[in-house]
Amino acid sequence: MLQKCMLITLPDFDRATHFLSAWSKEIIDDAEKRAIKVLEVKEPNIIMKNVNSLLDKQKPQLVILNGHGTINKIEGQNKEWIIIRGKNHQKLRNKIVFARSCSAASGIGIELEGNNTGCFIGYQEDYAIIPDRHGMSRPNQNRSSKPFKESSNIIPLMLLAGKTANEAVEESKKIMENYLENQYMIDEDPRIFDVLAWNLSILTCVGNENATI
Amino acid sequence: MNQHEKEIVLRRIGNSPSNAKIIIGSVGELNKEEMINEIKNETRVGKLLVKIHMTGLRYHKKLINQA
Repeated sequence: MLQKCMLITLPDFDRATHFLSAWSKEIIDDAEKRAIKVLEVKEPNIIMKNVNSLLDKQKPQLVILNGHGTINKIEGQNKEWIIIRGKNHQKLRNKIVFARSCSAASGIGIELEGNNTGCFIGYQEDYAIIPDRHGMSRPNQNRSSKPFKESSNIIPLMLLAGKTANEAVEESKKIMENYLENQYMIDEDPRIFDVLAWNLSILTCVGNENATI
Repeated sequence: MNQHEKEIVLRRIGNSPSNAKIIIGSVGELNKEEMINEIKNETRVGKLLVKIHMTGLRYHKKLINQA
C-alpha cells in the first residue's frame, strides 16, 4: 500500500511564523506516530522551486502551509512567495490543503473549487492571534494563544486521523465556540474573545468537503 | 469608518492591559498604543481592528440573546 505523505512548511522569521511553526510540532509528531511520511520544509528551503518539486515528485495527499498570505499568494520564508495564483496554484489541486495564512481561501481556495477531488481549508481574511503579554518566546506554553493553537491544530490532526475536510473544519469551529461560550479570558482581557470570534467567522472549506487523505 | 463602532473599539482596547498585544498575519505584532493609533488614524489596519472587535461584540450579543 502506498505510504501516505504530508508536506508542511515551517517558516520562522517573525512573531507570527514563530508561533505557527512551534504549534506545528504537535502535527508532525502525530503524523509520524501514524507512520505518515512527513516532508518538513524549513528555512532556507521554503522557496517555490523546492515546494513545486516536492509537490510533483512526492505527491503529498495533505499540504499544510504555515505563513503569511494574501488572496493571491502564500509566503514561505521571508519575502518568498511559494504559491502564486495563476502560476503554480494548480499544483494544490486534488490535495487536501490547510493554509494557516491570511486570506488565501478567498482567492487561491476559490480558484481550486471546481473539478477538485481535494479541498482547500483556510481563512478568508486576516488570521489573528492574541499572544501572552509575558513569555512570548514560548508559543506552546502560551495561555492566551492556547485556544488559537487548539482550534487550528485540530484541523490537520483530524485529517491525519482519517476524518473528512468538513469534519475537521466543524471540529475546529466547535472548539472555538466552546471557548467563546465559556468566555475564555486571561488577565481580564476580553480581546481573546473578539479575535476568536473573528477567526471563527473567516474559517472556510472550499472544494470537496468529503475529501480524506 | 463608522464613528460609533470606532469609539466602542477604542474603549475596548483602552481598557485592556497596558502591555496587551495582537498578532495579525498580514500586519505583524501591534502593541496597545499602536492599535489605538491605527484606529484613531483610520488606517487599513485600524479598520481591520474595528472589524475584528465588532465581530466579537456581535457574537457576544448573540450569546446573550440565546441565553
